[in-house]
Amino acid sequence: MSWIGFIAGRLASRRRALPFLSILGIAVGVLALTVIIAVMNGFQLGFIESILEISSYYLRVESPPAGRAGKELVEKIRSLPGVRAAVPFREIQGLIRGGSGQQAVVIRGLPPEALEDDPGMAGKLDFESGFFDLEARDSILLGAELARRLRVQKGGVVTVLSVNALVPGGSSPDSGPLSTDFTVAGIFRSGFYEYDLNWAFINFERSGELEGEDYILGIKLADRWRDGKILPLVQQISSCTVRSWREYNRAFFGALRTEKLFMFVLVGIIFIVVGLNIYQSQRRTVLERREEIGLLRAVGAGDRAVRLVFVWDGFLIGFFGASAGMALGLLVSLNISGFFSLLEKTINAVLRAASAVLSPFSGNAAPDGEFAVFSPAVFYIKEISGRVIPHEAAIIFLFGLFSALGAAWFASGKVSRIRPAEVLRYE
Amino acid sequence: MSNGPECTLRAHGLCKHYESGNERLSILKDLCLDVPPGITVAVRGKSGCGKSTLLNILGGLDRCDSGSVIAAGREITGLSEKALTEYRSRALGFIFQFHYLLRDFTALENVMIPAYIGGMKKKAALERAAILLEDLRLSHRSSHYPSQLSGGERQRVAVARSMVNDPILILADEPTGNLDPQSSEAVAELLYSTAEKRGASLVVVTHDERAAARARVRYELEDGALRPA
Repeated sequence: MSWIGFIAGRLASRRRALPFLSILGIAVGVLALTVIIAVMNGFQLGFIESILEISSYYLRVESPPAGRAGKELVEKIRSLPGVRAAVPFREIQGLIRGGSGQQAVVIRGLPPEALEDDPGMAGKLDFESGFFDLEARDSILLGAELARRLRVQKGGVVTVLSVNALVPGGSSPDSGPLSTDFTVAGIFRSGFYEYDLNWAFINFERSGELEGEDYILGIKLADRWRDGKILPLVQQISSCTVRSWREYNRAFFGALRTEKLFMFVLVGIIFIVVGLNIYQSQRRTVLERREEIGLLRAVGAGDRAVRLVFVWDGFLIGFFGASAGMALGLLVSLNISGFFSLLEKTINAVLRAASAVLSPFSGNAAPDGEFAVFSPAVFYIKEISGRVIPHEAAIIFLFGLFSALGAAWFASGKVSRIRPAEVLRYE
Repeated sequence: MSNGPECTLRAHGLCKHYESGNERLSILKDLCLDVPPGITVAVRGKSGCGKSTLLNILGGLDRCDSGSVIAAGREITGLSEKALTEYRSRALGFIFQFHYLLRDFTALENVMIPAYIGGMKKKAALERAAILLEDLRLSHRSSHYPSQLSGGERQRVAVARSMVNDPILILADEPTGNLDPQSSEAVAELLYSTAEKRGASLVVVTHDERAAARARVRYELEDGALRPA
């Protein structure tokens, strides 16, 4: 059946503009989908990693033993294969008052050595001023947006009220003061607006005085997808309830997945348009070549084999289009910052040139401002990163390939209805 | 008409009709034809008398209402489409009034395609096609596309294509009907001589007296039946 490839290849290479446009259509579709999904992954994985590294951890051991038994448990868990950090923490819902205004916040009690024990978290926190210093019992670290809202700086004093103390009938377990003053030891940014506005860190021991001795042991894994394997081991060692990040963040991660799926479907509509274009062009080709189809059948080619000539043509269109689109898509996705920077430079150069040309008429010597695709002043991101997930890239490639293949398959259905005796008449 | 199992083609009692509105047009009426091996046969007749229909039935491109066609020792009237395709590929060569060359392929490639479809390796098919083009004095045009050939040259390429699978039977439908008198004579001469040289039986349907005159056996198709001319 190698003649099918021979004939299909020749038909494709000697046609005029149609295959080029069809290939271009598939390439643009694959390119757009690859880049959009990669940028979306960049944002989403950024959020997910921030959440996992700063807030939720990969596994949580609830109410582990206190004191020496607790310390022994931490050491045992840290020695498990696949565990890269285990850090005890407490979480307090509270209210912070500062120089001006107040804000409901999550206050997390962490040991002073938390960042040394947990490099993953250290990598997610950037300190605008001060550093991760929770040695002093009255130290507090504030998110940058929270500090801005409270109008406090490093060295300033804020007052913390725990919700436990505010609930009617509730009180601090050690009958300590309802409100406590803390000194701001550092101001951090996490890259996630919610944490920068609503989060503060205090000393672990001090948090116990405010909220009680009960605490949680947060565990980070080398591979977050191995949580199902390691969770039972931790459960066995600790004899406590252990919860996975999947369970803990189900709603939010589910929403992110749905968002991506919808984006995939919406951008994927381009393949329907391209597929229809290919369908039309292939049908036209079949009609234009009905005499040649009749001839091929008269000289011994079966109708399925002749149909495969046109399907092969569709495969070539899909393969070359999807390959070109994927190559370009990967190039752009993996250099997305460079791509946007080039785009900005080009647009700014054009704007400057236009301004220079128009300045004698308008009186303005320079453009009002520089164009930026994503201005940090407007969007809460430092930089755009593209993340390509191999199996998603494979799905996008197959989408492009099969849209052309499917269109060619349906369009060539007419081949089997062409009767040589009818089309090879010369009258 | 000759009898016997040695015939390359034996058609017996062929009937074919078409419906045209309320009218029933009988094209072939109990038609019989025997073609012995290596014999050239010409069937003449007026336009619309059923010559092409007869050829299409003999070649398995159309089906008769009744009757039988035994070609290469095998009854073909009841064969499936797949078996008919196989039959055309192995036993037959077709030539049509119009050349129907594939426009995106050179003369050489056009000739080799039936052999390539029939399962021959590409290189062997190209070699065989080159020999045929040489026999038909077209070697110098082998790399030319159909649009670069004259009408007579295209039809000679079609003749070469019909013979590339070494068929035992060649069916030619008005092979010179679209050519000027000079080309017509040259093509007819080459068609007959090449078929004879290769030992293939040849059935030519034509209304051209000169094209028919070269055949060993000549028939006239009239009122749906054949009579010796």
